[in-house]
Amino acid sequence: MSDAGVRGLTLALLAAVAVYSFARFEVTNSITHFFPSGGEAELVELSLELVDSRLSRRMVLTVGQGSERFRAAAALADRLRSHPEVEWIEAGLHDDALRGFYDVYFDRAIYLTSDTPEVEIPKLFEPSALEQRARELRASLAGPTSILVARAAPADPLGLFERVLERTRDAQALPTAGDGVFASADGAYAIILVGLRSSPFESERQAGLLRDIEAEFAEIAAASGGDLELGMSGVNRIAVATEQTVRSDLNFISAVSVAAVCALFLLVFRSLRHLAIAVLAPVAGFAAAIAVALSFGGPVHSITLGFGFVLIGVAIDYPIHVMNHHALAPVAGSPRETVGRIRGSLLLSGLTTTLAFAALALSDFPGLGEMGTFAAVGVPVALGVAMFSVPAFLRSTPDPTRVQRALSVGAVGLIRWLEARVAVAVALVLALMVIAAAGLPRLHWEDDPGSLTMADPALLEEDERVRRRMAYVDGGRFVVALASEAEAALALNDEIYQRLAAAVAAGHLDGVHSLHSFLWSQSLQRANLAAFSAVPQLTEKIDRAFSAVGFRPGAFGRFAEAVAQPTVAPLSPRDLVESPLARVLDSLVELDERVAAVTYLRGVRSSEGVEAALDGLPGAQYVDQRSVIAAVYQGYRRSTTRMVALGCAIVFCVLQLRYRSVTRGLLAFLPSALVALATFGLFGLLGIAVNVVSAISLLVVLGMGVDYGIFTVDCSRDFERLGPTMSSLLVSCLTTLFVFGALALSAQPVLRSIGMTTGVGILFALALSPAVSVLARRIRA
Amino acid sequence: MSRARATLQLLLVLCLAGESRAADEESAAAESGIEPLMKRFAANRGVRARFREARHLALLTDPIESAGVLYFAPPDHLARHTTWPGSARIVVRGTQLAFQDETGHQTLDLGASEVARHFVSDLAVLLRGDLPGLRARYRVAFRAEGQGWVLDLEPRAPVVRRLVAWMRVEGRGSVLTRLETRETNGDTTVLSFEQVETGLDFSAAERERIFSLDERSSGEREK
Repeated sequence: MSDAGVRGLTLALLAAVAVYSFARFEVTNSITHFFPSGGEAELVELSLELVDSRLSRRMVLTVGQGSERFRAAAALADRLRSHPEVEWIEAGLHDDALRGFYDVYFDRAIYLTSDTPEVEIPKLFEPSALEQRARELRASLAGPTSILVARAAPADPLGLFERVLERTRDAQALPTAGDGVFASADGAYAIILVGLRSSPFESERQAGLLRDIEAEFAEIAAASGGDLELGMSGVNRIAVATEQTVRSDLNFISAVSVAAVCALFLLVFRSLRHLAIAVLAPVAGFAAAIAVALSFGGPVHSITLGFGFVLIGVAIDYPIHVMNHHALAPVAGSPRETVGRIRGSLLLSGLTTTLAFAALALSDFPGLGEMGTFAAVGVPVALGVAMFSVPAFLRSTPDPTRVQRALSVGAVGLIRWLEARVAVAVALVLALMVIAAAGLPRLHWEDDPGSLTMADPALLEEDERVRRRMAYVDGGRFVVALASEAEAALALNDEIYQRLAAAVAAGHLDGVHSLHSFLWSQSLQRANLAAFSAVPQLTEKIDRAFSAVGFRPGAFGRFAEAVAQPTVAPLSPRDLVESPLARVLDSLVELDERVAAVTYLRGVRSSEGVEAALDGLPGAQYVDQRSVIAAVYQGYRRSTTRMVALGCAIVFCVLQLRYRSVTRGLLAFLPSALVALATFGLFGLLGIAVNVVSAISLLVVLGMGVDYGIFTVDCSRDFERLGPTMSSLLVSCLTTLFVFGALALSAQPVLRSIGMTTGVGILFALALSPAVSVLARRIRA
Repeated sequence: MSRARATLQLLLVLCLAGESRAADEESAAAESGIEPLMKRFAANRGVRARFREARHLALLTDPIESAGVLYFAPPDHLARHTTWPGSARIVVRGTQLAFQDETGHQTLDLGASEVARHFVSDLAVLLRGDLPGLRARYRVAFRAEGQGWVLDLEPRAPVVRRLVAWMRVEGRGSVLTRLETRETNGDTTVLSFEQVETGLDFSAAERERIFSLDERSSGEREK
């Protein structure tokens, strides 16, 4: 095929892949992407499922300060109710809600009287208890609600409905204020609860909703004088903000990288055309990798996109070698002849880098696996373009610039200088060994998953502030009742509630937010009814006690009838679905083949105390999401470190097979393995914490370092290749540094870790390359 | 305190408990003379009266009796300070309601519930001489009787009609003397007024003392 044909085919394929990727492009920020995939501890699985459940699809809005806050909140709630991304809104208790509450609970109060019906219900019928209740009822008949109490009392002389009201109101802990809107405990803020229709991690939809909320509020606030303040809390807000940070980081990194790399190419090649040719290979690899990821893996994680820039840093080395070797070729020839001369080095570099990254693709983290696949696809494609397409874009006649010549000559001069001072080369190697040996024992691993992503602190503060204005629970700590079906989960939840109540009394935590406040298991409800039915002479006892304080005998016949022949069945989840209390069922989560009743905890002071309270309850699990995930990350960090070691071993074996010499294979391996260890050693000495992503980034260092080693060792046999090779390595290293250097400026810790680890590693690898070259030549000699 | 809160919540809930199926027919009862009466009420400004209440409930063998002082300051401040047999205090200010007795104190905003608002503001509507407001809530029948007058009120709101059959207000001149409420279940409440003072302008300090929604100590309540 002619060069023109190759150029046309390359550009056409690239355009087609780009259009395909653009059409299917979808990005995600879900933290679940960095959870292990299946086969792991049940708690992690559970956390994973709960993160994607309806429980996380909520927002809290508060309107504060202004005197019009309640009216403004009511207006905002009304406007948002019809928003396509809003599934439900709860802004207060209104007539319909109260009516629904009465319908659900009044006739069922006999089912929902006591957690310990066998003990407590007989006590209600002891003479002294009945006498006290009769006096209380009589007193309330003298009060302002007499007209209503008198109607409720015949069916509920014992005040059972009031008990239910007390329990549910304490659980809701949201009083109402002006216009019936929910208010914070101090009345300073109106509160609106918003149910989200989509996952909070669908950032595009959530960004639209957040924009609309702010716009609607701005209108309302302006109309009411403008002294109102909107507060928002929700996972969606953090996710959207994180994505915006990542996007803006990527824009910034792209701008800085492009500017620096353009300047470098103008300086070295005196031509941006060479940059365009060089970029062709990594861009093709990037586009192909995105296309594959979108075709088989769904949305691409934003962190994987950042990793794509790493890929550019790796893959741009190949065309740089081709262009620089062609320009500095000792004998004039076509670009394809140049590729032919360095084909072995290029192929071996591509193979080792791909193998190093392929280990990542086997990771149990979907996010890391995606990165591995991304690179394992992108690197070979980029190499193929560098070897097949790039020569078609180059001029046949070599025309090196002065800078290229100077770099080449300088590199040769440096090698000659080092050859005369082998001790310096050895000292350099030893220095890296010392850094590794001294620093690695001090290395601090950060396994907190929160350290991988960073949201705007102001946003997190607002989130915390808003959540404190209402029933504040720690969303990351909860107790789960796990069972095969709902009734069993509810029965377990009943037991958990009692145990946790004891733990609250013991001071292990401040309180709980439990489904038990609204819904009990059928078995406990029937036990309540049975306990009432078992009371001997129930009617007579009531009559005797109540008559003594002036009630007519037989006035409470309806209660006795309800106990003997209930008019309604015990309360079931189905009864709540259509009621104003349907939201409480969000705590009853259907998982794969299981049902979980989730109890959120408030003010946990002793995790051990909570765990001890649940001792001996099969299916009851205390989940501290942060420590669970930290433990998982720690496990995967160790696993990743082992993968890095495995990657090293594979690369070493490949090099041994290629060179069939232990020493030369070792020298080619040195810039990767030693550099990887020295990089972490330096971080240990500087007190820079590393994480699982740093460990992954070491694979990048390995992949690129081994390229440097291969080219350096290969050129040691051919002195004429020494200059072009070493100057190519310098240009490659600078290109990579410009890309990674900008990545290290990212606000996202995960991107920063990648940038710092790879940046430092590549610098070390470049510094070590001349020493490796000298040692290789000395051994060869 | 928790008991008082629960009771108030019960009030709200039970207000909504029923549905009326009765037709809402326009009253053809005579209203002649009511306009001058309501104008006199409107001119009354502030009102203070001692009251005695007797509640005859089907549940009880004997009536429940109480006594105290009722205060009204237009347009919507109403306070009922019970002094016998126990001490209790109910204050209504617009849609705000405060209730305090031996079991505790609670304030409540009735803004969310049209029904509850209706319930607590009826007497204020009458005392401030708001004839359109009264007609919106009740079918009204007025008649003169001897030296005085009688006002029969039949609730219009379905949910109120389910609880209250009718109310009868009796008075002389611009002074209320008796208010009888007959509930649909036969229970009856009779409020008798004595020492009725009208045309009062409560000072700021008096307003604060009488109509405060805040919790008061028992000493303050005795004043």
